[in-house]
Amino acid sequence: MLVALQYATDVAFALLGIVAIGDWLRYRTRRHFYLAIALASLGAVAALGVVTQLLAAAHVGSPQGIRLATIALFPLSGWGLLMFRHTFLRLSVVARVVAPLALAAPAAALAFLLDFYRPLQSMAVEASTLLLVAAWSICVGEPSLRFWLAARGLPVVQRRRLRALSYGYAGLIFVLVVAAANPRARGGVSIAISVIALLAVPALYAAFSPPRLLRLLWRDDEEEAYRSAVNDLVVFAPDRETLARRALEWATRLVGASGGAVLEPDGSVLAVSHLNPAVAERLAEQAGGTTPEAIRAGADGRPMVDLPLNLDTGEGHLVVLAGPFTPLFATEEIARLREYGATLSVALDRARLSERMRALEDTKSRFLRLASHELRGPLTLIRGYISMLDEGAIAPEELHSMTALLMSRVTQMTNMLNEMLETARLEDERLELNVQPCDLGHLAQSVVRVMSPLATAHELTAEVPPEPVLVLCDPARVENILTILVDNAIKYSPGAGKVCCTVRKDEDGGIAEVIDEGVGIAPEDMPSLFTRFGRLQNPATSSVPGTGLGLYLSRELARRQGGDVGVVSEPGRGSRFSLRLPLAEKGAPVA
Amino acid sequence: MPETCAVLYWGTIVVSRGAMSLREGGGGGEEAGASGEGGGETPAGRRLLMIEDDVALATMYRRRLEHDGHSVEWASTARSGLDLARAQDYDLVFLDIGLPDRDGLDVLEALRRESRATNVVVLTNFSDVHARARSEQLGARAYVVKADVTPAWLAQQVREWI
Repeated sequence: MLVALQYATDVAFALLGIVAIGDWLRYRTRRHFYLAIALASLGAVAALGVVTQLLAAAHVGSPQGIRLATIALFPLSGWGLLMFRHTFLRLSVVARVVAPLALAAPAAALAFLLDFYRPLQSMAVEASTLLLVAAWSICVGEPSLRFWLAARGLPVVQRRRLRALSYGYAGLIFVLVVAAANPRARGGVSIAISVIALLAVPALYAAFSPPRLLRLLWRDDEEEAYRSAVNDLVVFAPDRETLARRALEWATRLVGASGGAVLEPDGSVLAVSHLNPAVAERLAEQAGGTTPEAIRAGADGRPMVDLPLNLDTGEGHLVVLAGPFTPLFATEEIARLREYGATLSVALDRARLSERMRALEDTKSRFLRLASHELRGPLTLIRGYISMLDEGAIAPEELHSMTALLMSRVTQMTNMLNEMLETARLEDERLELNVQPCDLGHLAQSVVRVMSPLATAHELTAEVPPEPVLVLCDPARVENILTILVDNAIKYSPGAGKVCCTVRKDEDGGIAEVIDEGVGIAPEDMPSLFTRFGRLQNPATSSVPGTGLGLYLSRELARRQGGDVGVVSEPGRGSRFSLRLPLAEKGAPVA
Repeated sequence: MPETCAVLYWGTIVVSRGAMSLREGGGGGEEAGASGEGGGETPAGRRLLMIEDDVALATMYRRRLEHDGHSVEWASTARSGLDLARAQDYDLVFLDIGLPDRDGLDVLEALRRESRATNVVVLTNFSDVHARARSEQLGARAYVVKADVTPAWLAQQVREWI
């Protein structure tokens, strides 16, 4: 029974050693290498023990080579574990020098005594053995204790794995110390030693390669919380930033990381957790490299887990700064993090969609408020004067100027309504263009002529080259665009000044520019300038009438004719809006 | 009016802005000045101030209120309106909200901060509940949406508000 138990223990250790080597061959990292040395040398010691016992059973003395190999491999296993610890929690140089010496010295003494100096053997051999076991126990015990302590606060599976490693090695230390203290132990003690040694094997195995069932059992407690977090992630979260921040809490928890960041496809940081912004920015620079592995050396040489997020705007990144045990003890969690990342991508896209819909809703409401306010102005005037006419409060000589004013307000309303209708046509794709070769100079002059009476306080001029600038366009729409640009130039130049419409051509097309000396456009207003309802909102422009559709409409109309509208502006100095249109071929009939 | 309107793609476009003799302060410059009888109160009328940036609207209201014998001064910006309200005592101030330099209600707030019990009627085209609540809080006599009333109604209400 005892013999069978001993054989089973030895075989189990030998198998464990083989599995550890296999693991190292698979991952090829320094950590796996040291763990493989620690476990494989123990396995080899066990295998040599089996060989020795078999030889003894066959009444053949064990060869000297086997004894020497056993004495060499045993301290190697202690050194392997110590160096394995060093890859997570760094050892001092002194410890790294002293430890191998402390292991090698008694081992060398033992080898010498056993094989070359037989007369002194019994007492000196026991002393050397005790010293070797003591040195091995310290080399193995210290990391085991550190792992046990470090496991606190880690995610459940990582914690259990680290603790399993600690328990496995603690069991082995116990076995060796007891065996060294009782070299001739028999019966119950011997069986207990073998059972504990045998139990250490599954504990060590579970530490570096826990079976799926065990992992499921371990994380059972956390599963409910994780599911509810994923559910919250997809269903709730008011905006993308909050969502990303909440997601990071779980992402870092999943792999026992110290902090992390969610990065947008353009490299900007959407959310950070437990990181200072400088580190987050460094992570952003390092994310998205060509390395396919999830774990790479990141900021400060610390490993980081970098998972791509397939967002509808491109590839974002979920980056977490791995904790010291993440690379080896969180393989399972990294796989889960990958799933979590996929969920996060969907949730972020959903949040973007919701935000966009909310923004559209806001824009619509804002437009309705603006449009109703803008239409109320002329309506008030029309209603007011009609009521005054009705009660006879208008003198007959004032009638002419009053009707002119009312007509201008009706026109103002008509223009606003037409802008809205034309925009609706644009968006419903019902806009029909009548494109033909036209002289851009002629169109510009016509608009300036028509607009001149409006610019009572401004100096409105047209600068047109003598030869025609033939462009392909819908002339009515181009007049609309230029009218909007000139009207804006006048409206946004409250202190009067010059408004000039120039026409020229280059090799790419015909260009009409409207230049003013007005309030200009602040850089922060530029992005919203050509959007629907993108009105300038500042004190200098708040009383300027309009729906905020003009520039949007101009650019869209120009683009549908193969051209574009652009702007260069300086706040307080004025703006230069340019309409570019494709050139018509020479000789084409001009409209 | 062929000289004031021109046919474009959408029909007609305004070219008659400023065509009427609508000038601030009874033909003065940017800052308001006394009008009518030079700022003095007529026997039947009251002394009114209109803070309104739309020239045409201000002229229309002034015309109608002066028709009833009131004396109306006009300011087109919050700043000039506040200066006038500080400098002189008015029986009633009509105050627009969307002014070019500041929110009109800031004028009311400034007056209240200076412990002036000026009689103010907010006259605006913003029918916003928050603005209405704020004006009530600041002790405005009334909140009137321009598009909902006629100048005659406004003139009739003046005596009630004062």
